[in-house]
Amino acid sequence: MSSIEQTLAILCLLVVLVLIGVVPGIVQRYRRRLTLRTPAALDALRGYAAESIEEGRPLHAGFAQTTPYDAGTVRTLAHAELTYQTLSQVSAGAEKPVLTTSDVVTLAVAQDSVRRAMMDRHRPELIDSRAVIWLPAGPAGLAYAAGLTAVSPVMRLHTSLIGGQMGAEMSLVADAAQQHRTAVVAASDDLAGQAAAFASADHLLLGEEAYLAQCFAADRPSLFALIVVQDLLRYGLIAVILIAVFLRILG
Amino acid sequence: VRRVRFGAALASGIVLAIGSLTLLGLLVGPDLGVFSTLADVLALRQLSALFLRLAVVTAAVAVLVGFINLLLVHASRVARRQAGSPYSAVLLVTFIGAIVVRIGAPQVYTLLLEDVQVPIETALAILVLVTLVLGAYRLLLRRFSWSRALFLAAVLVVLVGALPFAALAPVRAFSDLLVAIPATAGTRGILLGIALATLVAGVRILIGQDRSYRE
Repeated sequence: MSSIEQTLAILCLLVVLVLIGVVPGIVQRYRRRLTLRTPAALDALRGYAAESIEEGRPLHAGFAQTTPYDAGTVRTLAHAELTYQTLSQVSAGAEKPVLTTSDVVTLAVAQDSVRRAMMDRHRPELIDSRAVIWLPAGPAGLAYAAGLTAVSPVMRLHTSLIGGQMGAEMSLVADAAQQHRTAVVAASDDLAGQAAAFASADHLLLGEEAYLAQCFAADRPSLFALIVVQDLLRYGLIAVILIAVFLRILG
Repeated sequence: VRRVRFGAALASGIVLAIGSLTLLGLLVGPDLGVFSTLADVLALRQLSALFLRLAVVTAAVAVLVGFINLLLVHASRVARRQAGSPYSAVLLVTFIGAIVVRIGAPQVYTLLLEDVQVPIETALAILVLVTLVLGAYRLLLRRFSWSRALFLAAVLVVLVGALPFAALAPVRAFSDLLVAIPATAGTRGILLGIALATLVAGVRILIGQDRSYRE
Protein backbone atom coordinates (compact mmCIF):
# COMPACT_ATOMS: atom_id res chain seq x y z
CA MET A 1 0.00 0.00 0.00
CA SER A 2 1.21 3.51 -0.80
CA SER A 3 1.24 6.16 1.93
CA ILE A 4 -1.85 7.84 0.36
CA GLU A 5 -3.76 4.54 0.44
CA GLN A 6 -2.66 3.94 4.03
CA THR A 7 -3.80 7.43 5.07
CA LEU A 8 -7.15 6.96 3.30
CA ALA A 9 -7.65 3.54 4.93
CA ILE A 10 -6.91 4.99 8.39
CA LEU A 11 -9.26 7.93 7.71
CA CYS A 12 -12.05 5.57 6.59
CA LEU A 13 -11.64 3.50 9.76
CA LEU A 14 -11.66 6.64 11.91
CA VAL A 15 -14.85 7.88 10.22
CA VAL A 16 -16.55 4.51 10.83
CA LEU A 17 -15.32 4.43 14.44
CA VAL A 18 -16.61 7.97 15.10
CA LEU A 19 -19.97 7.16 13.46
CA ILE A 20 -20.33 3.93 15.46
CA GLY A 21 -19.54 5.92 18.61
CA VAL A 22 -21.87 8.87 17.92
CA VAL A 23 -24.83 7.44 16.00
CA PRO A 24 -26.22 5.06 18.72
CA GLY A 25 -26.81 8.05 21.03
CA ILE A 26 -28.64 9.97 18.30
CA VAL A 27 -30.62 6.89 17.30
CA GLN A 28 -31.70 6.30 20.90
CA ARG A 29 -32.91 9.91 21.09
CA TYR A 30 -34.86 9.87 17.83
CA ARG A 31 -35.73 6.13 17.77
CA ARG A 32 -39.45 6.73 17.25
CA ARG A 33 -38.90 8.93 14.22
CA LEU A 34 -36.65 6.42 12.49
CA THR A 35 -38.22 3.61 10.56
CA LEU A 36 -36.19 1.02 8.73
CA ARG A 37 -37.18 -1.25 5.90
CA THR A 38 -36.67 -4.83 7.07
CA PRO A 39 -35.53 -7.07 4.20
CA ALA A 40 -38.41 -9.25 3.00
CA ALA A 41 -36.21 -12.34 3.36
CA LEU A 42 -35.92 -11.79 7.12
CA ASP A 43 -39.68 -11.44 7.54
CA ALA A 44 -40.10 -14.61 5.51
CA LEU A 45 -37.48 -16.40 7.61
CA ARG A 46 -39.45 -15.66 10.80
CA GLY A 47 -42.56 -17.12 9.19
CA TYR A 48 -40.69 -20.19 8.01
CA ALA A 49 -39.27 -20.73 11.51
CA ALA A 50 -42.81 -20.75 12.94
CA GLU A 51 -44.04 -23.11 10.19
CA SER A 52 -41.06 -25.39 10.80
CA ILE A 53 -42.12 -25.79 14.45
CA GLU A 54 -45.77 -26.38 13.53
CA GLU A 55 -44.96 -28.99 10.86
CA GLY A 56 -42.28 -30.72 12.97
CA ARG A 57 -39.69 -30.47 10.20
CA PRO A 58 -36.18 -29.18 10.97
CA LEU A 59 -34.61 -25.97 9.79
CA HIS A 60 -31.26 -26.09 8.02
CA ALA A 61 -28.51 -23.48 8.10
CA GLY A 62 -25.72 -23.91 5.57
CA PHE A 63 -22.34 -22.19 5.85
CA ALA A 64 -21.20 -23.48 2.41
CA GLN A 65 -17.46 -22.88 1.87
CA THR A 66 -17.19 -20.05 4.38
CA THR A 67 -13.96 -20.08 6.37
CA PRO A 68 -13.25 -18.06 9.51
CA TYR A 69 -9.69 -17.34 8.35
CA ASP A 70 -8.38 -15.57 5.22
CA ALA A 71 -10.80 -12.91 4.03
CA GLY A 72 -13.85 -14.76 5.31
CA THR A 73 -13.74 -13.85 9.02
CA VAL A 74 -16.39 -11.12 8.92
CA ARG A 75 -18.56 -13.17 6.55
CA THR A 76 -18.38 -16.22 8.83
CA LEU A 77 -19.18 -14.26 12.00
CA ALA A 78 -22.05 -12.41 10.28
CA HIS A 79 -23.60 -15.66 9.06
CA ALA A 80 -23.03 -17.31 12.45
CA GLU A 81 -24.98 -14.46 14.08
CA LEU A 82 -27.82 -14.74 11.55
CA THR A 83 -27.87 -18.51 12.14
CA TYR A 84 -27.94 -17.97 15.93
CA GLN A 85 -30.95 -15.66 15.64
CA THR A 86 -32.78 -17.99 13.28
CA LEU A 87 -32.10 -21.02 15.48
CA SER A 88 -33.32 -19.07 18.52
CA GLN A 89 -36.68 -18.78 16.77
CA VAL A 90 -36.98 -22.55 16.21
CA SER A 91 -35.76 -23.45 19.69
CA ALA A 92 -39.38 -23.69 20.88
CA GLY A 93 -39.91 -26.71 18.62
CA ALA A 94 -39.00 -30.36 19.10
CA GLU A 95 -36.78 -30.81 16.05
CA LYS A 96 -33.02 -30.39 16.26
CA PRO A 97 -31.72 -27.96 13.64
CA VAL A 98 -29.40 -29.24 10.91
CA LEU A 99 -26.26 -27.34 9.96
CA THR A 100 -23.83 -27.99 7.13
CA THR A 101 -20.42 -26.65 6.21
CA SER A 102 -17.52 -27.71 4.04
CA ASP A 103 -14.81 -26.27 6.25
CA VAL A 104 -13.67 -28.17 9.34
CA VAL A 105 -12.87 -24.98 11.28
CA THR A 106 -16.33 -23.59 10.51
CA LEU A 107 -17.72 -26.80 12.09
CA ALA A 108 -16.76 -25.36 15.48
CA VAL A 109 -18.34 -21.96 14.64
CA ALA A 110 -21.56 -23.68 13.52
CA GLN A 111 -21.68 -25.85 16.65
CA ASP A 112 -21.21 -22.74 18.77
CA SER A 113 -24.17 -21.04 17.04
CA VAL A 114 -26.39 -24.02 17.96
CA ARG A 115 -25.05 -24.11 21.51
CA ARG A 116 -25.60 -20.39 22.12
CA ALA A 117 -29.08 -20.38 20.60
CA MET A 118 -30.29 -23.39 22.57
CA MET A 119 -28.61 -22.46 25.87
CA ASP A 120 -30.11 -18.94 25.67
CA ARG A 121 -33.58 -20.49 25.31
CA HIS A 122 -32.92 -23.16 27.98
CA ARG A 123 -33.21 -26.01 25.48
CA PRO A 124 -29.89 -27.90 25.96
CA GLU A 125 -31.56 -31.13 24.79
CA LEU A 126 -31.64 -29.69 21.26
CA ILE A 127 -27.83 -29.37 21.16
CA ASP A 128 -26.42 -32.19 19.08
CA SER A 129 -22.91 -31.88 17.67
CA ARG A 130 -23.74 -34.61 15.13
CA ALA A 131 -26.40 -32.35 13.63
CA VAL A 132 -23.58 -30.20 12.24
CA ILE A 133 -22.61 -32.01 9.07
CA TRP A 134 -19.39 -31.63 7.12
CA LEU A 135 -19.79 -31.92 3.36
CA PRO A 136 -16.68 -31.74 1.17
CA ALA A 137 -16.44 -28.70 -1.09
CA GLY A 138 -14.50 -30.20 -4.00
CA PRO A 139 -12.29 -28.08 -6.30
CA ALA A 140 -15.21 -25.94 -7.53
CA GLY A 141 -17.53 -26.17 -4.54
CA LEU A 142 -19.98 -28.36 -6.43
CA ALA A 143 -19.51 -31.39 -4.17
CA TYR A 144 -21.03 -29.40 -1.28
CA ALA A 145 -24.05 -28.50 -3.41
CA ALA A 146 -24.43 -32.12 -4.53
CA GLY A 147 -24.28 -33.29 -0.89
CA LEU A 148 -26.83 -30.71 0.15
CA THR A 149 -29.31 -31.90 -2.48
CA ALA A 150 -29.29 -35.26 -0.67
CA VAL A 151 -29.64 -33.75 2.83
CA SER A 152 -32.91 -31.99 2.02
CA PRO A 153 -35.10 -35.10 1.41
CA VAL A 154 -33.35 -37.36 3.95
CA MET A 155 -33.75 -34.87 6.81
CA ARG A 156 -37.20 -33.64 5.66
CA LEU A 157 -36.02 -30.05 5.89
CA HIS A 158 -38.63 -27.33 6.09
CA THR A 159 -36.38 -24.37 5.37
CA SER A 160 -32.83 -24.01 4.18
CA LEU A 161 -30.94 -20.84 5.07
CA ILE A 162 -27.83 -20.87 2.91
CA GLY A 163 -25.22 -18.21 3.48
CA GLY A 164 -21.53 -17.53 3.29
CA GLN A 165 -19.76 -18.19 0.06
CA MET A 166 -21.75 -20.12 -2.52
CA GLY A 167 -21.61 -19.56 -6.25
CA ALA A 168 -23.88 -20.52 -9.15
CA GLU A 169 -24.28 -24.01 -7.66
CA MET A 170 -26.92 -22.35 -5.47
CA SER A 171 -29.38 -23.07 -8.29
CA LEU A 172 -28.75 -26.85 -7.94
CA VAL A 173 -29.50 -26.71 -4.23
CA ALA A 174 -32.56 -24.46 -4.64
CA ASP A 175 -33.98 -26.63 -7.41
CA ALA A 176 -33.58 -29.84 -5.39
CA ALA A 177 -35.01 -28.16 -2.28
CA GLN A 178 -38.11 -26.94 -4.09
CA GLN A 179 -38.80 -30.45 -5.33
CA HIS A 180 -39.00 -31.57 -1.70
CA ARG A 181 -41.08 -28.57 -0.52
CA THR A 182 -38.13 -27.01 1.28
CA ALA A 183 -38.13 -23.22 1.27
CA VAL A 184 -34.78 -21.64 0.43
CA VAL A 185 -33.54 -18.35 1.89
CA ALA A 186 -30.20 -17.41 0.34
CA ALA A 187 -27.68 -15.08 1.97
CA SER A 188 -24.61 -15.64 -0.21
CA ASP A 189 -22.28 -12.71 -0.81
CA ASP A 190 -20.89 -14.28 -3.98
CA LEU A 191 -22.10 -12.41 -7.07
CA ALA A 192 -22.79 -15.56 -9.12
CA GLY A 193 -24.51 -17.07 -6.08
CA GLN A 194 -26.70 -13.99 -5.65
CA ALA A 195 -27.72 -14.10 -9.30
CA ALA A 196 -28.55 -17.80 -9.09
CA ALA A 197 -30.44 -17.27 -5.83
CA PHE A 198 -32.39 -14.35 -7.32
CA ALA A 199 -33.69 -16.71 -9.98
CA SER A 200 -34.19 -19.89 -8.01
CA ALA A 201 -34.44 -19.24 -4.26
CA ASP A 202 -37.66 -18.26 -2.47
CA HIS A 203 -36.04 -15.26 -0.76
CA LEU A 204 -32.70 -13.55 -0.99
CA LEU A 205 -30.64 -11.29 1.27
CA LEU A 206 -28.95 -9.08 -1.29
CA GLY A 207 -25.38 -7.76 -0.95
CA GLU A 208 -24.82 -6.02 2.36
CA GLU A 209 -28.13 -7.27 3.81
CA ALA A 210 -26.46 -10.61 4.57
CA TYR A 211 -23.84 -8.87 6.73
CA LEU A 212 -26.19 -6.73 8.79
CA ALA A 213 -29.20 -9.05 8.88
CA GLN A 214 -28.77 -9.59 12.62
CA CYS A 215 -29.10 -5.82 13.19
CA PHE A 216 -32.61 -5.76 11.67
CA ALA A 217 -33.77 -8.61 13.89
CA ALA A 218 -32.26 -7.33 17.14
CA ASP A 219 -33.93 -4.72 19.30
CA ARG A 220 -30.71 -3.14 20.60
CA PRO A 221 -30.00 0.54 19.73
CA SER A 222 -26.31 -0.22 19.10
CA LEU A 223 -27.19 -2.78 16.42
CA PHE A 224 -29.98 -0.63 15.00
CA ALA A 225 -27.47 2.23 14.74
CA LEU A 226 -25.15 0.12 12.57
CA ILE A 227 -27.75 0.12 9.81
CA VAL A 228 -27.98 3.91 10.08
CA VAL A 229 -24.16 4.11 10.01
CA GLN A 230 -24.07 2.01 6.87
CA ASP A 231 -26.70 4.21 5.23
CA LEU A 232 -24.70 7.34 6.14
CA LEU A 233 -21.57 5.78 4.64
CA ARG A 234 -23.51 4.89 1.53
CA TYR A 235 -24.69 8.50 1.10
CA GLY A 236 -21.11 9.66 1.69
CA LEU A 237 -19.84 7.29 -0.99
CA ILE A 238 -22.48 8.47 -3.45
CA ALA A 239 -21.44 12.07 -2.76
CA VAL A 240 -17.75 11.22 -3.33
CA ILE A 241 -18.57 9.46 -6.63
CA LEU A 242 -20.72 12.42 -7.80
CA ILE A 243 -17.98 14.95 -6.86
CA ALA A 244 -15.38 12.83 -8.71
CA VAL A 245 -17.60 12.70 -11.81
CA PHE A 246 -18.22 16.46 -11.60
CA LEU A 247 -14.47 17.19 -11.29
CA ARG A 248 -13.73 14.86 -14.20
CA ILE A 249 -16.29 16.68 -16.38
CA LEU A 250 -14.74 20.03 -15.44
CA GLY A 251 -11.35 18.60 -16.46
CA VAL B 1 -28.51 -2.00 35.73
CA ARG B 2 -26.81 -4.39 33.30
CA ARG B 3 -24.28 -6.74 34.90
CA VAL B 4 -21.05 -7.23 33.02
CA ARG B 5 -19.57 -10.71 33.34
CA PHE B 6 -15.82 -10.80 33.94
CA GLY B 7 -15.24 -13.47 31.25
CA ALA B 8 -17.15 -11.49 28.64
CA ALA B 9 -15.30 -8.28 29.50
CA LEU B 10 -11.96 -10.10 29.35
CA ALA B 11 -12.76 -11.66 25.95
CA SER B 12 -13.86 -8.27 24.58
CA GLY B 13 -10.70 -6.63 25.94
CA ILE B 14 -8.42 -9.25 24.35
CA VAL B 15 -10.20 -8.94 20.99
CA LEU B 16 -10.05 -5.15 21.13
CA ALA B 17 -6.33 -5.05 22.03
CA ILE B 18 -5.11 -7.73 19.61
CA GLY B 19 -7.38 -6.55 16.78
CA SER B 20 -6.35 -2.90 17.11
CA LEU B 21 -2.61 -3.68 17.37
CA THR B 22 -2.73 -6.01 14.34
CA LEU B 23 -4.70 -3.50 12.29
CA LEU B 24 -2.37 -0.62 13.16
CA GLY B 25 0.68 -2.77 12.44
CA LEU B 26 -0.69 -3.60 9.01
CA LEU B 27 -1.88 -0.09 8.16
CA VAL B 28 0.95 2.13 9.37
CA GLY B 29 3.75 1.82 6.81
CA PRO B 30 7.24 3.38 6.83
CA ASP B 31 6.20 6.66 5.08
CA LEU B 32 3.71 8.11 7.57
CA GLY B 33 6.07 10.38 9.51
CA VAL B 34 5.43 10.54 13.23
CA PHE B 35 2.99 7.60 13.09
CA SER B 36 5.67 5.40 11.50
CA THR B 37 8.17 6.41 14.21
CA LEU B 38 5.58 5.57 16.86
CA ALA B 39 4.89 2.22 15.19
CA ASP B 40 8.63 1.49 15.17
CA VAL B 41 9.03 2.42 18.85
CA LEU B 42 6.04 0.25 19.86
CA ALA B 43 7.17 -2.55 17.48
CA LEU B 44 3.66 -2.63 16.03
CA ARG B 45 4.69 -4.32 12.79
CA GLN B 46 6.52 -7.11 14.60
CA LEU B 47 3.55 -7.56 16.97
CA SER B 48 1.17 -7.67 14.01
CA ALA B 49 3.30 -10.31 12.26
CA LEU B 50 3.44 -12.35 15.49
CA PHE B 51 -0.35 -12.28 15.92
CA LEU B 52 -0.82 -13.27 12.28
CA ARG B 53 1.58 -16.21 12.68
CA LEU B 54 -0.31 -17.27 15.82
CA ALA B 55 -3.59 -17.08 13.90
CA VAL B 56 -2.18 -19.26 11.10
CA VAL B 57 -0.88 -21.85 13.58
CA THR B 58 -4.23 -21.83 15.46
CA ALA B 59 -6.12 -22.30 12.19
CA ALA B 60 -3.83 -25.20 11.24
CA VAL B 61 -4.38 -26.87 14.63
CA ALA B 62 -8.13 -26.26 14.30
CA VAL B 63 -8.11 -27.99 10.90
CA LEU B 64 -6.30 -30.98 12.45
CA VAL B 65 -8.72 -31.11 15.40
CA GLY B 66 -11.64 -30.83 12.96
CA PHE B 67 -10.42 -33.79 10.91
CA ILE B 68 -9.80 -35.93 13.99
CA ASN B 69 -13.27 -35.04 15.31
CA LEU B 70 -14.80 -35.92 11.95
CA LEU B 71 -13.09 -39.30 11.86
CA LEU B 72 -14.05 -40.06 15.49
CA VAL B 73 -17.72 -39.19 14.84
CA HIS B 74 -17.86 -41.50 11.81
CA ALA B 75 -15.87 -44.27 13.56
CA SER B 76 -18.27 -44.20 16.53
CA ARG B 77 -21.23 -44.30 14.14
CA VAL B 78 -19.81 -47.41 12.48
CA ALA B 79 -18.98 -49.04 15.83
CA ARG B 80 -22.51 -48.43 17.17
CA ARG B 81 -24.11 -49.42 13.84
CA GLN B 82 -26.23 -46.28 13.84
CA ALA B 83 -28.37 -45.13 10.92
CA GLY B 84 -26.17 -44.14 7.99
CA SER B 85 -23.22 -46.18 9.26
CA PRO B 86 -22.47 -47.65 5.78
CA TYR B 87 -21.83 -44.09 4.54
CA SER B 88 -19.54 -43.47 7.49
CA ALA B 89 -17.69 -46.70 6.67
CA VAL B 90 -17.25 -45.54 3.06
CA LEU B 91 -15.87 -42.23 4.33
CA LEU B 92 -13.35 -43.96 6.62
CA VAL B 93 -12.23 -46.42 3.93
CA THR B 94 -11.88 -43.57 1.41
CA PHE B 95 -9.92 -41.48 3.89
CA ILE B 96 -7.47 -44.29 4.65
CA GLY B 97 -7.33 -45.27 0.95
CA ALA B 98 -6.54 -41.68 -0.09
CA ILE B 99 -3.64 -41.49 2.38
CA VAL B 100 -2.25 -44.90 1.32
CA VAL B 101 -2.56 -44.07 -2.40
CA ARG B 102 -1.06 -40.59 -1.91
CA ILE B 103 2.01 -42.06 -0.21
CA GLY B 104 2.32 -45.33 -2.17
CA ALA B 105 1.22 -44.36 -5.68
CA PRO B 106 0.96 -40.59 -6.26
CA GLN B 107 0.27 -41.09 -9.99
CA VAL B 108 -2.91 -43.08 -9.14
CA TYR B 109 -3.94 -40.29 -6.77
CA THR B 110 -3.59 -37.71 -9.54
CA LEU B 111 -5.45 -40.02 -11.91
CA LEU B 112 -8.35 -40.37 -9.44
CA LEU B 113 -8.50 -36.62 -8.95
CA GLU B 114 -8.21 -35.59 -12.59
CA ASP B 115 -10.11 -38.43 -14.26
CA VAL B 116 -12.84 -39.04 -11.70
CA GLN B 117 -13.50 -35.99 -9.55
CA VAL B 118 -12.91 -33.23 -12.11
CA PRO B 119 -15.18 -34.79 -14.83
CA ILE B 120 -17.94 -35.32 -12.23
CA GLU B 121 -17.70 -31.68 -11.13
CA THR B 122 -17.67 -30.54 -14.78
CA ALA B 123 -20.86 -32.52 -15.42
CA LEU B 124 -22.42 -30.88 -12.37
CA ALA B 125 -21.31 -27.46 -13.62
CA ILE B 126 -23.27 -28.04 -16.84
CA LEU B 127 -26.27 -29.05 -14.74
CA VAL B 128 -25.97 -25.71 -12.91
CA LEU B 129 -26.67 -23.89 -16.17
CA VAL B 130 -29.73 -26.00 -16.92
CA THR B 131 -31.14 -25.78 -13.40
CA LEU B 132 -30.56 -22.03 -13.36
CA VAL B 133 -32.73 -21.45 -16.43
CA LEU B 134 -35.29 -24.09 -15.45
CA GLY B 135 -35.44 -22.87 -11.86
CA ALA B 136 -35.97 -19.28 -12.97
CA TYR B 137 -38.73 -20.40 -15.34
CA ARG B 138 -40.46 -22.52 -12.67
CA LEU B 139 -40.29 -19.75 -10.10
CA LEU B 140 -41.64 -17.28 -12.64
CA LEU B 141 -44.63 -19.53 -13.23
CA ARG B 142 -45.19 -19.96 -9.50
CA ARG B 143 -44.67 -16.33 -8.45
CA PHE B 144 -44.55 -13.87 -11.31
CA SER B 145 -42.56 -10.68 -10.92
CA TRP B 146 -41.24 -8.31 -13.57
CA SER B 147 -37.73 -8.40 -12.12
CA ARG B 148 -37.62 -12.22 -12.38
CA ALA B 149 -38.97 -12.06 -15.95
CA LEU B 150 -36.24 -9.55 -16.81
CA PHE B 151 -33.61 -11.82 -15.24
CA LEU B 152 -34.80 -14.82 -17.27
CA ALA B 153 -34.85 -12.73 -20.47
CA ALA B 154 -31.29 -11.47 -19.78
CA VAL B 155 -30.04 -15.05 -19.16
CA LEU B 156 -31.62 -16.23 -22.42
CA VAL B 157 -30.17 -13.30 -24.41
CA VAL B 158 -26.66 -13.99 -23.06
CA LEU B 159 -26.99 -17.74 -23.75
CA VAL B 160 -28.32 -17.21 -27.30
CA GLY B 161 -25.63 -14.58 -27.88
CA ALA B 162 -22.98 -17.16 -27.01
CA LEU B 163 -24.06 -19.47 -29.85
CA PRO B 164 -21.53 -19.54 -32.73
CA PHE B 165 -23.90 -18.56 -35.57
CA ALA B 166 -23.28 -15.54 -37.84
CA ALA B 167 -27.00 -14.78 -38.03
CA LEU B 168 -27.04 -14.13 -34.28
CA ALA B 169 -24.52 -11.27 -34.48
CA PRO B 170 -27.08 -8.58 -33.40
CA VAL B 171 -28.05 -10.68 -30.37
CA ARG B 172 -24.35 -11.12 -29.54
CA ALA B 173 -23.79 -7.36 -29.78
CA PHE B 174 -26.77 -6.74 -27.48
CA SER B 175 -25.52 -9.42 -25.08
CA ASP B 176 -22.04 -7.80 -24.99
CA LEU B 177 -23.68 -4.44 -24.28
CA LEU B 178 -25.71 -5.97 -21.44
CA VAL B 179 -22.59 -7.49 -19.90
CA ALA B 180 -20.41 -4.40 -20.41
CA ILE B 181 -22.71 -1.69 -19.02
CA PRO B 182 -25.72 -2.68 -16.85
CA ALA B 183 -24.19 -5.91 -15.51
CA THR B 184 -20.87 -4.24 -14.66
CA ALA B 185 -22.63 -1.27 -13.05
CA GLY B 186 -24.82 -3.58 -10.96
CA THR B 187 -21.83 -5.72 -9.99
CA ARG B 188 -19.88 -2.67 -8.82
CA GLY B 189 -22.88 -1.40 -6.85
CA ILE B 190 -23.30 -4.72 -5.04
CA LEU B 191 -19.55 -5.01 -4.40
CA LEU B 192 -19.45 -1.48 -2.95
CA GLY B 193 -22.38 -2.34 -0.69
CA ILE B 194 -20.63 -5.53 0.47
CA ALA B 195 -17.40 -3.58 1.06
CA LEU B 196 -19.23 -1.01 3.22
CA ALA B 197 -21.00 -3.74 5.17
CA THR B 198 -17.71 -5.61 5.69
CA LEU B 199 -16.12 -2.40 6.97
CA VAL B 200 -18.97 -1.66 9.41
CA ALA B 201 -19.27 -5.28 10.59
CA GLY B 202 -15.46 -5.57 10.88
CA VAL B 203 -15.16 -2.45 13.05
CA ARG B 204 -18.05 -3.71 15.16
CA ILE B 205 -16.20 -6.99 15.79
CA LEU B 206 -12.97 -5.10 16.42
CA ILE B 207 -14.48 -2.88 19.11
CA GLY B 208 -15.97 -5.85 20.92
CA GLN B 209 -19.65 -5.44 20.02
CA ASP B 210 -19.99 -8.91 18.49
CA ARG B 211 -21.78 -11.36 20.73
CA SER B 212 -20.16 -14.57 19.53
CA TYR B 213 -17.18 -14.36 21.87
CA ARG B 214 -19.01 -12.66 24.73
CA GLU B 215 -21.53 -15.36 25.58
